[in-house]
Amino acid sequence: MKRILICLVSAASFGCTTVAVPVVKEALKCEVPASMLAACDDAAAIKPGIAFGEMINVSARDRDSLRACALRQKSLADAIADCNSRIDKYNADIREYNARNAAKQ
Amino acid sequence: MLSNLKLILIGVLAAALFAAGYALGARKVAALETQIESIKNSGKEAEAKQKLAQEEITRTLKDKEAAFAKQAQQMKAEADQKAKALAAALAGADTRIKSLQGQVAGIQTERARLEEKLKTASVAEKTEIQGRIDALDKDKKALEAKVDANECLALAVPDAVIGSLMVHQ
Repeated sequence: MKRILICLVSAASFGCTTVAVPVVKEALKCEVPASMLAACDDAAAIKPGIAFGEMINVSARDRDSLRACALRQKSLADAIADCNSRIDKYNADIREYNARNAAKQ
Repeated sequence: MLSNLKLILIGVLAAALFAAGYALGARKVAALETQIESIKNSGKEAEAKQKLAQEEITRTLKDKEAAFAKQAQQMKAEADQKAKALAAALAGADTRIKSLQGQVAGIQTERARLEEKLKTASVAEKTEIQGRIDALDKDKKALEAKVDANECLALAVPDAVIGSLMVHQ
């Protein structure tokens, strides 16, 4: 009797399968390039007794540094704005999709 | 013999019960399977949408990174060029001072010649010569201001003025 039960359970087990349902694991990532995340340079050092000519040089270096920083900041802001816009679009798609599915049920 | 027959009967009965149970269960499972299929499809579609959105974001960010790198490189090239020009301009201060002083000397010579001429000039000529002398004085003043500005480049900025801007690193 025991043997029959074991056989039946074994046979029934062949009918058992797991169903893999795809799961949306993580939220969208907005990995902005590291080059856009670099910090701005400090102002150039001004030595005591600096001459007017060298001061112009220091000012020029600071201006270049500020320009580079402004470009980086603008590029970063653009990238994040673009990311946000795409994430918003994706979320809107998902909302619309969920609404459609809810209407079906 | 009887024992074997009993075993066969039990086996047949068990198989029949199993089959009946399976058929009964399968009817309920069919609805669940449809639901699961629907969930699977929804999941797959959502995953595909997410994958597509992520790919778009990644591609856009790469494009933006490339554009930024290009602009930054261009900006650096311009800055390097300007730095070289500035260094050359600062290094050329002495040459410019000498050139400007030469022009001042020329004006002084011309002015002295006109002053000499003024002594023997008629009334009408005097007005014209005085006008030229005044113009030379104006030019000389402008040249001297340029000499001063170039000489200033080598002078130290007063501590009282620069003190607040000092950055110690």
